[in-house]
Amino acid sequence: MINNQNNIINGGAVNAVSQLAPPVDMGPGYLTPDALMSYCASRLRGLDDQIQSAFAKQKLANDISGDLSALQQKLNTLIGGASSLKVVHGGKAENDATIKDIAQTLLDAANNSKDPSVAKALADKARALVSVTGSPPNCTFNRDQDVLLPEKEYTSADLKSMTSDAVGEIQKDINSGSELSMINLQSLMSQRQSSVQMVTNMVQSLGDQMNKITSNIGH
Amino acid sequence: MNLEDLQAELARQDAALETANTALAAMGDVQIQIPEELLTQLDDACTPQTSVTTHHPGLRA
Repeated sequence: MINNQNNIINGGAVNAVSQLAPPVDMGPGYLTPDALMSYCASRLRGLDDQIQSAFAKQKLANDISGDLSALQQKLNTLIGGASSLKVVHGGKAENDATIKDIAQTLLDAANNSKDPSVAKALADKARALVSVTGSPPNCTFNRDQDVLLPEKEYTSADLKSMTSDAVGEIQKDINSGSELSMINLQSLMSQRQSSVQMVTNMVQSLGDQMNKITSNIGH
Repeated sequence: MNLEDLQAELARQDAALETANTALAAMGDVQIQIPEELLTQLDDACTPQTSVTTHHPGLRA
């Protein structure tokens, strides 16, 4: 950007800065360099606030997406350990423990999620499996109670679809929102780039004008 | 372009501003006239635009 300044200035910005004045009070419309820089900084502040906010949102979305990937892996490990699970109510099902482990994993993730809507979505997935009490970040369930799934034999594909794949869908939503945020952030950065370019051109022009005046003194 | 690239770009822009700041400081105690239209252009360039949706749309229940 700085390397291109001279070309851009020659293209017209010099004309825009009308004149330099001696260090006396020239009245309205005249600024000291310090005042000009303060003015430029104050104009950029609004843009900077928006950019910082967009950066923070984008980082949070990336973190959440990473957490959901880790959760999916954890769930797949739990599901992969069981071939098929026969759910029998009345505390007779020996395999119910795996479903309760899956529910606990979902609730742990919900209680630790940085995003309330993701936390709620994860808790809802657990609610389909067990009787959950409370809301994130304080969701719990009683392991002594029966699971809520209807009595039947569930394949690992069934369990994957109910839990791991469902988490994948939540992640997909996060990622698509994140892509929009990234476009917004890039647009803001581009706008800031134009503003910074304008400021640096203005300063470069003033410097050139001052050099001309200095070189003309004594001629 | 990822977040790291954008952060690097932000740092590059900040360095350009710092250079401009130094150049202005070196001008000393002069007074300069800035045409109003140039300041208006800067105002327009710095006005934050309405952002596109930044939240994740419609989480499935």
